[in-house]
Amino acid sequence: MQLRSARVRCILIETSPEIVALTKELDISLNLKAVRKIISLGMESLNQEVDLERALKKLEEEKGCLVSNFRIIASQNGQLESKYVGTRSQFGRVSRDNRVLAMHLCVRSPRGKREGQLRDELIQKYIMNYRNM
Amino acid sequence: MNAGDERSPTHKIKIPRDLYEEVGSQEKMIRLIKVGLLSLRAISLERENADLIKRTEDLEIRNAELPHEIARFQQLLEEALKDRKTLERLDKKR
Repeated sequence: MQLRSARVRCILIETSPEIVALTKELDISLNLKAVRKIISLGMESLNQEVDLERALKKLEEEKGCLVSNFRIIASQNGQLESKYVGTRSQFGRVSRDNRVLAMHLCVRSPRGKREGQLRDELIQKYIMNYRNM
Repeated sequence: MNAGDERSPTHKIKIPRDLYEEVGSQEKMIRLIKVGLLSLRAISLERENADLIKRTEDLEIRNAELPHEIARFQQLLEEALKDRKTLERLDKKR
């Protein structure tokens, strides 16, 4: 109960526009908990503002290159995936049609040895082994 | 108070008094907050970049596999189309 009733004594300070911009960029709100964490991060940091700003600029540039590269690769992937899906679907459609045609052949007797051999091979392929295709 | 609140013209924030006393001055406090936020941004950017590198690598692997997969299905399709002709020919003979 004592802990619950204990209030943190605070003071109000005016921030800089840079801090406001950074909090917006990071999408965070500077509540008491966040302020404590950020200040301790500031205390722990071995870098000066100028070093951090330089590192950030470098990281932003790196991100720009990475995003640009990612977009190129993603565009190539889109084209390849589309071709892959198209070819696979077309193969699936033709195979299903072939299965229906092979079923038709099941109910008739072949004319000659060669036709019988072909018929059996196709029935084997599109009916017996269909699931393994 | 939210520092990102545009309705607040002065952008004031609450600081725990113990922390303020430990730091000593408003100027130092502002500098520490700025350094903390810059560090946080750097950490966030490092993670975003690492994530982008990983996603690009994964796509590159997939892009290298896809031509083989496409070629395999194209070969299977050609074979299936050839079989269809044979099946249709056999079916017509009924």
